[in-house]
Amino acid sequence: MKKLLHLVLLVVAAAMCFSLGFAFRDLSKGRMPTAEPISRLLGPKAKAPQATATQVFKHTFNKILRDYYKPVDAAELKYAAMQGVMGALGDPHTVFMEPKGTKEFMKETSGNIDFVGVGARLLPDELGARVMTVFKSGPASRSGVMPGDLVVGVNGKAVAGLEIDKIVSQIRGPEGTEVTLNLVRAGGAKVELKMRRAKVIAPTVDGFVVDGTDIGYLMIAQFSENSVAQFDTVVQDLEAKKIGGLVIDLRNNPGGRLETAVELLSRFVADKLVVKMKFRDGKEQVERTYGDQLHAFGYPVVLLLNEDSASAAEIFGGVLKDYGLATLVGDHTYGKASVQNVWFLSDGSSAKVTIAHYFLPNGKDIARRVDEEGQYLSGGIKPDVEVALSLAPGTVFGDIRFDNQLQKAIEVIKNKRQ
Amino acid sequence: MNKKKSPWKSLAMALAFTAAAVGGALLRDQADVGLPISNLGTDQSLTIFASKDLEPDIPEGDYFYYLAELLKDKFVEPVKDDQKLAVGAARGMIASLGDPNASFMNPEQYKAYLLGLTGDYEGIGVELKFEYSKTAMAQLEKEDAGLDPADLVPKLVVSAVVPGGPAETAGIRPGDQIEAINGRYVLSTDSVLKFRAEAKAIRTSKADRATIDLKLRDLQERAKNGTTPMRAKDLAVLGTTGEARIRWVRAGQSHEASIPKRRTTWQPVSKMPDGTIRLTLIKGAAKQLATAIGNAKSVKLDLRNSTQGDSTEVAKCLAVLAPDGSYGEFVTQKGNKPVPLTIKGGRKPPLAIQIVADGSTRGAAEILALALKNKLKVPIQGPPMAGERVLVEASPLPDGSGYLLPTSTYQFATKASGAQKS
Repeated sequence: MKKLLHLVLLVVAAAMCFSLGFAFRDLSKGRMPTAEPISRLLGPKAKAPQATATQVFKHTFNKILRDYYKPVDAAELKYAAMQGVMGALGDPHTVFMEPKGTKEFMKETSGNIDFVGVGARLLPDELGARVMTVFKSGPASRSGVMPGDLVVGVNGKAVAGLEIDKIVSQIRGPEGTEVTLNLVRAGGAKVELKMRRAKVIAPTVDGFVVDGTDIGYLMIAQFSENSVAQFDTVVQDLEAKKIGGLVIDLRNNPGGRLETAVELLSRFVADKLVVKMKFRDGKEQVERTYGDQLHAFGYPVVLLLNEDSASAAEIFGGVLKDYGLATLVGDHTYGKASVQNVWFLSDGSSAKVTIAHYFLPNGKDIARRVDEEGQYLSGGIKPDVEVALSLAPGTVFGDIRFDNQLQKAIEVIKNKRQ
Repeated sequence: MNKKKSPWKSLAMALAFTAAAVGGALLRDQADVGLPISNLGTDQSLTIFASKDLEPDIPEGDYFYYLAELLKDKFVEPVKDDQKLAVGAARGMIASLGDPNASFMNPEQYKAYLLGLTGDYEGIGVELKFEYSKTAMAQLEKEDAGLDPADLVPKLVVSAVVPGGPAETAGIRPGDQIEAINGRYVLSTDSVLKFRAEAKAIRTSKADRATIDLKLRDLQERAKNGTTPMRAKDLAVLGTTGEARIRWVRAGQSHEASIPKRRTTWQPVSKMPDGTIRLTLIKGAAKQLATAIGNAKSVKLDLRNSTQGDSTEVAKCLAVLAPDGSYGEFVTQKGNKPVPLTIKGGRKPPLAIQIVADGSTRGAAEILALALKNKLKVPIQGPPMAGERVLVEASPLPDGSGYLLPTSTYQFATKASGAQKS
């Protein structure tokens, strides 16, 4: 009995020593031991004491700045790091923009493409350049340049045989300086028009009647705030010329404002679903067309699209396709299917982040998929009539002589009318 | 109570109590530390990661934290693991250096890299390097070449082959350029320029529009069938099963073969029949070198085909070969204090050394050769070496990926003449 008591005492004493050892860290720092370290030991398996993401970042950032054998610009290194952070999410539309890129981005989305020039869109021609459209109230328009005019000389120097880019750069110059265009009119008359270069705003919507047809061509470069009014004006002008069909060109249209696309779609269809957006928190939001903005297009409408048609342009095309209101001609579209928001950061940089996925009225997911080499696999809107653009030189959008996709669109309209 | 208490018994009890207390303290250690860090590796960088508060606060840290929180809060998919954001940052920073000796490696690549340092290779048994074409660089400098920096894609070049490995058996040698892998050509600035020239020739030809269109379309298809040099490298050096179909060029001649992938081992030291010692500065090189030299009075070192290197082996091998002293220094381009390459406990009995080297002598091997040449006037036979004397440091990241960062270059400076060019 005595022996047993002795043993128990011994065990208790040993246990006390053990506890003392266990709690020594606390006692030596003058605080009462708690049960917390015990629960850490016995409780659910604690995670490895991993450094936080911020610590890992700071460590790497400091290491490169300190140990790389060449001088490194800290600001550039920071920007590169943030690009890498966004890149880690694997979404090509979630991007970091440094201050310079942020400024450019804001200029682009403000809706105006402005530059200094005379305000005309030119097409290549063997004799020089052909005037495709003249921007309203620009220098060229004010001095009487007309669509269809042939530019054969700039400041008295012949431009025949020059590439279109070279001719354009001769016409452009500092704001306020003068330039003279030597033109040949449709009837063969030669005219010389002097104009003063100025800041011109390229309209986001432009149009004309295609040579030798009664079919209108309307190009939407991007969906910006002023596109709606411009669209209405161009349609009005074309209808005044009694068109019997309309080609809406959305090729290379990168998108823009969703609101604008919704408003333009309201010309075609009343009070219908445009897109359903699904956000991170599970919330859904739908965009519908307005009920009171319908326009009577009393003729076939064909859309031209290609792989550089993205975002709002795809929505515009996809919605008209889903409701059977237009025939789509060209290539498959990009396949964006997501909505971004931009946050401006303290140093003038910004973060463009995908915040939602969207789905078209038929519910299909059009998100772009690529293989491990980055090559397109699937996604985007498939056109009703697939035709690839000719790669041969001289192929310019809207030039009926060489633009084989436009040729196809016109053929489709003509077939529909029969 | 037992009155005749044995002193041994008391001592045993005291010991037991002490042991109990120490055991308690040890257990507490474990409770406070959590899981052992050793399962992450023992590299110093990781120890730093595991301890808190070692990195001072920097505004960039707050900036990163803010951006990470923004993404965790707003990005359309939940960000499950924010460590991948930090790893992404590392990848972005390393890429921005634009340095062929700096690279980010995903977990698979980093593992293969570490294995290579100990002489264990996967894939077809080669060391590959990225090399920027000099002609392309020159063309980039000419303004009307129509090249922009994004067009600068390095060539994939064999820097070394594992002796007796599948690649060597198939006939691949250092200096060969990898032209295609598994039927896809390896993209490079040269191929970009070639495609452009071809496109221009087609566009300006006298053929009709339909023919031009067809030919350009065909060219476009061919151009698409490429792969980046980075991906091609992975296909050649990762994995131990299957094979890689490789097309390589040497002196304008193309060769092609299907080469099996398997694990191969590179011995740092091997003695040739004529007594020459082939040396590669992977882990354990110095120890084996000492054994191979033994009591010999002279040695001939073959440093060709030696590119992979563990920088710590340079000093160790020097100590095997040469007496105490200073053998040059490591310098930066930032004006940091040079770090001398000093040998203590070096060789005492004199040793006559001869070195054979060529363009496939790089990095650690080249530094070793230069140190011996400059300090001890050891003769080097053969064509010029690669001219790569950069010391590169490897750092792991928490997800198993890692990166290589060049930290200094080697030079041999004498007080009278300053840096010597070799």
